[in-house]
Amino acid sequence: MSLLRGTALSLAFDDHAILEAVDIELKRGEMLGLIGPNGAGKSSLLRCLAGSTQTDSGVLQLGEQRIEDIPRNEQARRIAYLPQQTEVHWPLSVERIIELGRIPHLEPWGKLSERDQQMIEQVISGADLLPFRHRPFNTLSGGERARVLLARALASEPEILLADEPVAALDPAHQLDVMAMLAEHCSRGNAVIVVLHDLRLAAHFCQRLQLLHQGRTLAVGKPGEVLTPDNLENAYQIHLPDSQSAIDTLLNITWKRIPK
Amino acid sequence: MPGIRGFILIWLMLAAGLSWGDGRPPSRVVSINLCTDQLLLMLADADQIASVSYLSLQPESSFVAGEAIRYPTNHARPEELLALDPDLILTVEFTDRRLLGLLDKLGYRVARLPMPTSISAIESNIRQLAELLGQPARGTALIHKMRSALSQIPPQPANQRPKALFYQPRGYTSGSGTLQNEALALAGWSNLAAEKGIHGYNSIDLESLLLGQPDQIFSSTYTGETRSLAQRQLRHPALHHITHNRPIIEIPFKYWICGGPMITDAVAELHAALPNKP
Amino acid sequence: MLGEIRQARLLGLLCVIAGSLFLASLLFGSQTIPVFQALQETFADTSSVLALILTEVRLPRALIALFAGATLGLCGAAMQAMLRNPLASPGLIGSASGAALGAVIALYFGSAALSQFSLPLGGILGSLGATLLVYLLAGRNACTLTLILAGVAINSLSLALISLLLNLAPSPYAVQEIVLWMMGSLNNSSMDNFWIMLPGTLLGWILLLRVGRALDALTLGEETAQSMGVDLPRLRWRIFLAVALAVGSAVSVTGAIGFIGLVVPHMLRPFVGYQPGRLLAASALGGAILLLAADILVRLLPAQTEIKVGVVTALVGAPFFLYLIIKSRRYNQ
Repeated sequence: MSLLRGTALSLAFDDHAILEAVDIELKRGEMLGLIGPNGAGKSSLLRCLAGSTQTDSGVLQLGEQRIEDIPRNEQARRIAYLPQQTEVHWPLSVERIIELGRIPHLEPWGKLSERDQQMIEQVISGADLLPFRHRPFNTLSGGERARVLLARALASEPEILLADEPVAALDPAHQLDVMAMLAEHCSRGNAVIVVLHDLRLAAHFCQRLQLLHQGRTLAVGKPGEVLTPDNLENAYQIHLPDSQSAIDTLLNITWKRIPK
Repeated sequence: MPGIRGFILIWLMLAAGLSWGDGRPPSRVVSINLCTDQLLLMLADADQIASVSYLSLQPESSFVAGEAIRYPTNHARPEELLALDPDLILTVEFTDRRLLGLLDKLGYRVARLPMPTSISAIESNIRQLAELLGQPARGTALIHKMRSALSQIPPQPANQRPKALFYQPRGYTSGSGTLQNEALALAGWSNLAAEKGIHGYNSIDLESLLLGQPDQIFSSTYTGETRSLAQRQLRHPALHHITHNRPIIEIPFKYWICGGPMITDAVAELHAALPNKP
Repeated sequence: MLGEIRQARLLGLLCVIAGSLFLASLLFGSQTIPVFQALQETFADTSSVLALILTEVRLPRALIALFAGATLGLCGAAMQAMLRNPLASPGLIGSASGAALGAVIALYFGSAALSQFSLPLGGILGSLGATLLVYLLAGRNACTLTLILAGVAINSLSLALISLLLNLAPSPYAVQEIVLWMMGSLNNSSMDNFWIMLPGTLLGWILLLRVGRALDALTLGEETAQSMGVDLPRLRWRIFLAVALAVGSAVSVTGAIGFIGLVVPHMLRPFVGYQPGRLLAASALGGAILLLAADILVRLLPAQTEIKVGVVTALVGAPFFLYLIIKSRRYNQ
C-alpha cells in the first residue's frame, strides 16, 4: 500500500505548464529522490504534495483518502514540509524552533504534553543539537541551521517528510549528517521525498529516484535504472565521457562520516 | 437736473475736506464691525448711516438684523470702503492692522471703540460714539434705559448667592474682568471661575470645576447644529451630576459677542435661572 | 542580554505593574483629592463630589488608557508577527490614521441623529480601509522598505484628508482639533466614551485570542506555516478585521496615539523568547502600562493647557524607532 499517491498532477501559471500529468508514489519506509535540472518542476511538485499550491488537475491521495477529505490539521500531522530556503524571522532559540514542530499536535490552548516534550528531546539529541538548544537561531552556522530546520520538521512525527534541497549549500560532512537524519526517519516506518541536486547523494541514500524534466517524469525507478547515460544527457544536457563507468562509480561510492 | 447733482458733488467734496473737527456731525458713517454696527444703528439718524457690515444681517449673532437690512452692507474690503466714500469709519480695537494703515494713508477718519469688559466700559463706549455722531442725548437715553433695566433686577444678598460658571466648548470659562463675570454678579450668582482665581477668558480644569461644586452651569456657544470634540465636552456626565441634573443653560452668544445695551437681557436671563427665586 | 522569563511569571509581573499604574491614575489628577475618602464615598454615596471625580473623571480615563493601550500593544504585536516585520504597527501602516479619518468623518459630518456608535463604526471602517490599502500597495510579501513607504503614503493621505475635512467642517472648533486627532488625548474622557469604544475593542481582542499558534508557525515563513495547518488567507483576514475593530474603536475615542504598537512589542520580545504567540498577551499588558504611565505623566507635568498624551508616547517612541533603525543597519552590514 502506498502512503502517498499522486495521479496525473498538472499545474500551470499563466498558460505556462509547470507540471504535466506527473504521477508519483511513495511507499512506507522508502526515501524517494526527486532529481532533475533547475526548472524541471521538482519544487513545484513538492509544494503541491505539501498542499501549499493547488494543482489544476489530478488526484492526490494520502493512504486511501483523497487529500481534500482530510482535515487540515490531520494533514499537517501526517505530512511535514521543509521548503528550500526557510527563513526564521525572529531570533528564536533552537529549542523554541523545534517546539514549533509540535504545533499540529496541540490544542489551541494546550501546553506541550509529556509526550511532546519527549519527542522534542529525542529530536534534539538525534540531530546532535544538545549543545545549541538555547542558542538563538541567527547565531548558528549554515550546517547547524539546516539540522535545526530538519529537526523541526521531524518533531511533528510525520509519516511523510517532504524536503526541498535540504543539503544545498552544506559542506560534505554536513550533507551526510542531514541525509543520515532523513534515512533514520525512513527506517522507522516513515517515508521521505527529497529534492536533490547531488546525484551521488541521491544514488547512495534513495531507494528510488524520479527524474523530472520540463514538468514531466522522464524516468522513475531504482537509482541504477534512472541514472543512465541517456537519461542524464536528455535531462541535464551534459555529456559524460565514458559515462557508464562514471555512473557505476557514482552508484558504488560509499561515504562515511568520521565519528565525532 | 444737472445743477443739483453738481451741487451735491461739490458739497460732498467740501464735506470730505472740511468735516475734520468742524463740529458738524458725520453724515456718511460706515461701520465695518458687528459691534459698532449695533451701536451705530441704535444711536445714529438713518440718513447718517452709509453702510454696515454684512455680519449685522445674521440674526444668530446680531441684535439689529431687522434694521440693518435697510442699509448697504460691506465686507470691510478697501475697494468697498473707497466706493462708499465715508466721512467716518467705525470699528473696534482689534482690526486688521494693514486695513487700518491703508485707511490712515488715504486720509479717512477712523474711530476705534475698545472691547468693553464691564458695564461701565459699555456706557463709556455709548457715550463716546454718541458724541462722535452728534447724538449725545440719544447716548444718555440709552444709558439711562440700560441702568433702569438693570435696577429692575433685585439684588441678591452676598451670602445667598448660588455658585455658577460659564463652561464653553474646549473647557473655557469666563473669570474676573469679563462681561460674563459682571453679568453673573448682577444677576445674583457668584462666579465660580473668578473665585478660583481665573482672570479673563481662560480654560478651567474639569476636576477643579467639579471640586467647586457649581449649582448651575451656563454656556454660550455660537456653533448652532454642529458637532466637534470641543462641543462634546459639554455633554460630560459629571457636569450633569455635579449640578444635580440641572441642564446646562445656554445663554445666546449674541449678548456678549459685542458689549452693548443687550447685556441687560443677558442679566435678566441669568437672573431668571436662579434656583428658588423669591 | 535580557533573557526569557516564564510566561506566567512575566504576565503576572506585567499585570501587577499595569494594576498599580491603573490605581495610580485614579490617585493622581489635576487636583489633589483625598483618594481614600473618595473611595469610601464612592461606595457609600455616589453623589458626593469626590466620588464623582473618582468615578466619572478619573475612572473612565484610566479605563480608556488601559483598553486603548492594550489594544495598540496587542495589535502591534499581531501585525508584526503576521507580516514578519518589526516595523509593522497600527501607527506606521495606516490603521490608526485611517481610523482617525473615519472617526472624523463620522463625528463632524455625520448627522447628530445617528447613534453615538457611528463614531467607532467610522473608526473601524477607516482603519480597515487604510490597512488593506497599505497591504495591497505593498504586496503580500512586502519587504520592510515597501511596507514603510506604502504606510507613509497612506498615513500622509489620511492626515491630509483629516486636515482638509476639519477645515471644511461646519463646527468652528473643528480646526483646532486637528492636533487632537493626530496626537491623541485622553483628557476629559467620560464613561460614555469608554462604553462606545468597548464593544469593538473586545471583539477585536476575541478575534486575536486564538491566533497565537498560527503566528508562531509563521515564524518559519508562509509555506511552512501552511504545511503546519495554518489557513493563511483566513488568518490574514482575521487579523486585519481584529485590528480594524480594536484600533478603529480605540482611536475613534482617543485619537491616533503613536508608537505604542511599535515600541512595546520590541521591548518585550526578548522576555518571551521572541515567540510571537507569547508576545501577544505580554504586549497587550505592556501597551496598557505605557499608555497609563504616559497619561499619568501628562497630568503631573506643569503646563498651562494639558499636554497631549500622544506627545509623550512619541517622545519615548521616536528615539526608540531611531535606535531600531541604527540597530538594523548594523545587522545588515
